[in-house]
Amino acid sequence: MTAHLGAAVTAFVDGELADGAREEVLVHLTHCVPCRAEVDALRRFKQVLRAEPLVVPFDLSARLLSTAAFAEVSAFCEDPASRPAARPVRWGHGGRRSHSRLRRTAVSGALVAMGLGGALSIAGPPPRGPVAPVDPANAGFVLDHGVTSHEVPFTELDVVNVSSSSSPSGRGQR
Amino acid sequence: MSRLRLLLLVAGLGALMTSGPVSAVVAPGPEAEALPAAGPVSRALVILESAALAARVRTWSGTQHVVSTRSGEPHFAVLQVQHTPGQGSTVQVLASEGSAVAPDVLDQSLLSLLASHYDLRVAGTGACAGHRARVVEARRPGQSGPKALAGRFWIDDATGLVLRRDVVDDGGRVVRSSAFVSLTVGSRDDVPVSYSAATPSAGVMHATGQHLDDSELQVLVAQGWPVSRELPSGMELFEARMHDRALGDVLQLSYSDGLSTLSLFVQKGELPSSTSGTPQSVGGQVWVSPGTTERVVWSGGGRTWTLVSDAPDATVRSAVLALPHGPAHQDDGMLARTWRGMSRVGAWLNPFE
Repeated sequence: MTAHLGAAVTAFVDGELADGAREEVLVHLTHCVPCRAEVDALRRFKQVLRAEPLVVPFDLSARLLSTAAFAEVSAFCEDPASRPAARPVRWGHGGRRSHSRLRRTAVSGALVAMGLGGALSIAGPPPRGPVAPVDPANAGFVLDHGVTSHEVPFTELDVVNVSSSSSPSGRGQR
Repeated sequence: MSRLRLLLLVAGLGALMTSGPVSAVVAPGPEAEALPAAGPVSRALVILESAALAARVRTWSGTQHVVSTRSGEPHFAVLQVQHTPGQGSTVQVLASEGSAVAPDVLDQSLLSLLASHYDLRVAGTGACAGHRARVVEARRPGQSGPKALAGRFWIDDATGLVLRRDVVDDGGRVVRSSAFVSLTVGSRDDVPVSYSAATPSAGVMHATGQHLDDSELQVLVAQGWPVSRELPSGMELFEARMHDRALGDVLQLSYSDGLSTLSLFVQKGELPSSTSGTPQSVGGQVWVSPGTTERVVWSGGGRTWTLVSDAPDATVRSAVLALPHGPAHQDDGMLARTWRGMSRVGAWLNPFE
């Protein structure tokens, strides 16, 4: 394996690789410093997420609630008696308030983009499909081929009787 | 057994020495026909059909040497073959090198493929195992010179049995040769001999699985099973079977050009990340187990493919290249990847997972 691990890093960190692929990754990590650093970083990030409870800062909640959109929504929900506190805002007319709103929108958009980009980067490879139920190495396929083609293989058997049921007239029989 | 191995080695070295361009060892006789074969039912085809029939209806026994060359490596075997009409053949491996060997018995059902892919002609007379023989050649249509030769059969004058068969690649090299070094043939009135007492440990082979006709194949195709009627190098589908194994279904598709055969075993699901065989890159990662009958295994399109063949290397390689490789979906799209990443973060945040 000469290239870097790429998407396989996340699958490796999450223990989703099959034995053979995992061994290949381990071999690669012994000599690839950048990939080792990436694995370490991802492991630390995962540990941080596990260790720290997800708490939304009060300040962030307050700021979100103070935005114009929330104000408009709350205008329909709150007691009419308290309505003067939440004045409807007209979009596009607001001077400094309009700039502030644009800034918040841009920051929110950037956060969403970063989140989506982060999700994309740690998505890892598509999950493997189911494994074939019959092991080709021990399925007797060579024997089946020999009977069908009239060329009898002797990998598994020392002595073989070739049944005449494999003759053309015998085809179609189970 | 050691003497047999020595004999085997000598036979193999002989085969190696003759594995260059095939030299003419056949004396042109009065029976030689001009190329191309005269009509679809040529004299050569009649001789081969008689040989296939004789192999089934006569009582015979003999020692056969099989030599096959794969990736430049020879594989040898010495077989003791006995045949009784109505009971089939008993084959005992006296010595072998490589993973699998096979005696060559002319199959009547494949003669039509042989006649449709090659020009057949009686090339002359020869001798094998002390028997006088007529030599029938299979030549590649539209070609001339030594490279046109694709196969050669030595047919016993007296009994009609095939004494020797060579398969020649398009470089003029013999890639597979099977020849009787001794042969005893009973009369047509011989009472069939029971071999069960002589070979008490013998296993009896029957064709397994369910034969599939055209309509059943079409149903399988509609269900998503990959069924090719042809593969490169003129390999045509001549038999299809479904093996109902305990763990899952396996579809067997067998192909031939009349000289060589190839079987594909297809099953749903991908190959485990490692399997037996030597890893090679042929259109993707494949695992090769060489021998007189070669096995190639790989994953492609969400299925596991196992190719088993006695065909020349070039035929096997072109067949492997023509079939799917890699995962079923190379790229599952940005939306799916984003969702997978978010799910992964969610799993990391979940303290109970």
